[in-house]
Order: sequence, then structure tokens, then C-alpha cells
Amino acid sequence: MAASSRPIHEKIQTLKAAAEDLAAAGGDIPAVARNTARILASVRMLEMGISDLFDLGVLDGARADGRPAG
Amino acid sequence: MAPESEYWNPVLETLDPERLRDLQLAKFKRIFAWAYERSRFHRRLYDEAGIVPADIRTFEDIARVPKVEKSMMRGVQRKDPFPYGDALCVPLEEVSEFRQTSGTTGQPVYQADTWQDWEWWAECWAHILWAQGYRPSDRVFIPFGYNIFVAFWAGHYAAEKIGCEVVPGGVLDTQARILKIQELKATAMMATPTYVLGMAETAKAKMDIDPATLGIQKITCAGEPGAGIPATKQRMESAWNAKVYDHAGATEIGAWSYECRHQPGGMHVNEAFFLVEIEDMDTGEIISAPGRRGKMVITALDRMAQPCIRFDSKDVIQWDAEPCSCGRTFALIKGGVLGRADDITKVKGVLLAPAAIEEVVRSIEGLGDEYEVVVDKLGDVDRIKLKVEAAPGAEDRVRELEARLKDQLRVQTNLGYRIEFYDPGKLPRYEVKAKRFKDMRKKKEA
Repeated sequence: MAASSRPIHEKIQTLKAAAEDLAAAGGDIPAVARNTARILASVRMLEMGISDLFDLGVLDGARADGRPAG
Repeated sequence: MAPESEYWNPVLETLDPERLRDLQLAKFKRIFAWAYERSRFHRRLYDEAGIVPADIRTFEDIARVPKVEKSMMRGVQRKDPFPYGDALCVPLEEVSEFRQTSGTTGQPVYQADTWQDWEWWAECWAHILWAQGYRPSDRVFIPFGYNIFVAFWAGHYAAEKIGCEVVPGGVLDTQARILKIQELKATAMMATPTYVLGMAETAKAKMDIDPATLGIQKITCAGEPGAGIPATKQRMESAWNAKVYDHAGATEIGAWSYECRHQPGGMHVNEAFFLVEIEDMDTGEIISAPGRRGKMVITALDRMAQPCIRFDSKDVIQWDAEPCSCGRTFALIKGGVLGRADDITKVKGVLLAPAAIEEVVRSIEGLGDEYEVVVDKLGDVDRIKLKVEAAPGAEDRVRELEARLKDQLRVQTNLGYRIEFYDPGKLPRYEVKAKRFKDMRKKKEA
């Protein structure tokens, strides 16, 4: 299941980029800034649940200790 | 969402163990570098030890990172950035939550969390509650004070996250809480074992309500040992006609372990979010073999504001050799938290873990739930006294109960006790966490 969650990981990253764009565009509006900050905190939970496995190279690429991925 | 899923996050909870270790190592490197760069406290600690982030290449390198003791946190706090001191890794304006430890072992330690850390708390607890069978159809009653102790705050938010309906039971007294559970037909509850038993006693003795009829199906216990002690768990389950599940967490660590609904006789460590090491209490060697008790050193891999990196928790645990039938690859600690390294004491030259006494007392039908242990010295000789209550209706069986108690205590703890019986209701009652073990030798020495 872990390896097949790449599409989910990619959508999480799309969501994150959109939230970061929103923060940049509307950051002068407190309602936008604070709500976007919360959205990004929730996105971070999605990353901990799925994306970290890809971003930290656990599921593909080099192992964390430098050994080849098995 | 698939309510039928056994796992909150099957991607992590069934990750193969080798990948799990890779994840832990990668995350440890990340949090270590984060603290090294942002916390003057951690930088000083690591500079003194001569260790930098680039030194962490393999799992074995992790043990070189110096441990953090609670006393060290006390030492840096109450200073700028006030009140957290220089263990803080984020600007003060990013801290959204203040909590503090209970202070039972000394001056309370303050804990800072950002909003992301607070979401992390709820995410950790979501793993716990889902594993214990909480689902959107549950109405969860939470009878705690919603105060400066972290307690069940994250349980509340996790229950919401899962989709449950949450009834906050703060402010209400015990009888009002029982009536609210009855009125609303709550299906689940979270409380300390002391309070779970206390509520049951109040319902029966003062309200003529049998808690087993209230409809609670599952209870999550935390805050003190109890749900991991089989006889105490059995008493709670019997009193409420509910499944009782254990959870171990701490303010300065997070919600690191939990019993799943398969009740495997231990607790899963959330290994995707926490790195648990077991250290031999005599040699300091890291224990990887199951069945050997040691002291837990723990890292919260994603906690950012005030990181927990190789924290010496003083909890005594051991790995379980067997996997759980639930299918999670998260390792089990057998028997849950077995005690605290600083609770284990010598009496008459014999090592004594207070949990062993609780198991004996609560396994004997005819004894009440409450008890108290007093250790003192007469001259140079240690003495140990156990105070118990006969359960209502068992007052005429005191001699038989005393004989059984002495027998089983001798077998389980290798000690002889003076036993004192009290009428039901005469021993102290505790609202939240109990303090049943009193070592008068320490007070005299102090």
C-alpha cells in the first residue's frame, strides 16, 4: 500500500503549493493569513502520513543510512 | 472515508519494519538538525558532547546523542524567551499552546506547542482512538477539567477529527457527569483508571446506578498505570461492561503508545512518529531483544516548538517478541509501561515495583478498589504496611482475605507485609491520579 500511495503524495504537494500561494497572495488579510496557516498545519499532517515516505527517500531512492534501496 | 478500515493510516501502520526504521532514521536526522540549528539549549548540549548533525549516519549513531533529563528542562525554563527558555525552537509568537507537567516529581516543566504541534497531538491520538474502535458513530464523553495539564485535550480534538460527537464533561461534578452519560447515551469515555473506578463507585454507592447499564462500550485510560495492570483492567471492564484500553503519553513527549482493540497484553509504539530506545538500567546498553526490561529513551520525531530528543523518560518497558494479531507492524511493548525506574525501590533489600502490589490487591475478590502502601523504618529495619478495604458485603471475610493477601504478596513481591483492614470508604479517594505508595524513609532522609 505504501508504494501505491504516490498519487496521494503528489496531490498533497499540489494542495500545499496552493495553500502557500494563497498565503502569499492574501497574507495582508488576517482571515486569509490565519486560516491558511491552519490549512498548512493540516497539510503537514498529510505529509507526515504519506509524503514524508517519499520526501525522505524511504520508498524510493537511497536509504536514509546510504545503503541501496532494497 | 472507509469506517471499516482497521487502521487510521494503513500506509504507516502496516509499513514493513525495515522501511519503518528507515523512516525513523531519516526523521531523527531531521529533528536533530532542527534542534541543533534553532535551540541554544540543544546546541550547548551537543557541542559539549562533540556531536553535530552530520555525525548521524546510521541507527547506531543515534545512541551517541546525549540524553535530556527532566531536570535539565527545569533548569533552562522561566527565562527568556519567557517562560520556555532557550530550548524553544520557534519564535515565541508561533507558540499557540501552553501546558505544564503535573509536578508530581518536582517543579512543573512548561511545554510549548505551535498550532502544527497541536495538530500533531490530535493526529497521534487519532491513531490511538481509531485503533481502539472509535468511529464517527460514537458519542464520546470526556470527564476531565480541561486545564493546564495536557491530559485528554488531544483526545478531545482527535475524537472530533475522527468524526465522533464530543461531549466535554469539564466543570460538572462526578454525579452530574454520570447523569450526563446516562442522559445522552454516551458510547465512549476517556479518564484515568482512578477516576474510572471512582465514577463506578459513586454511581453504585451514591446514586443507585449500575455503571454497567449506562451503555459505555469503550474507555480509553491514560495518566497513570492501571489499564495495563490486568486485575485493574478487569475491574474496570466488569464495572462498566465496557472494553478498557491503555494509552501512555506524557506532556513533554506526546502520545507515544496505545493498546489496540485486539488487546494483545501490551501497547503499540507509534513508531512512525516516535523513536523508542530501551536502555539497560545498569549498563546503559541499548536493548533490542524482547523480554529484557529497561528504561525508555524516546524521541518525538515531528514535534517542533520544544523538541523531545532522546528524552530519559524513566518509564520501564520491554519489547514483545510476538507481533499483534491486528496486523500493525508498530512494535509492541509487553505489558505496557511496567513501572517507573524512580518508583522501583528496595524494601528489606528486595526490589519492589508498586504495580505488583496493585495487581495482587485488585485480583482478590472481596477487597475494595482502594489501597495504600506505607514503607517506613524502625531503627535500621524497613517495614511495609498495606492498608486495604473489605468490599461491601465482605466485612466478615477479613481473616480469609488477609491470609490470601499475605500469601499472594509473598509470591509476587517476595516480601512480608503488615495488613490493616478498613471499612469500605475509609481510605483516601483521589479525583484524578492516585498517590497510593508512601515511602516515609525518603521524607525522613530529606
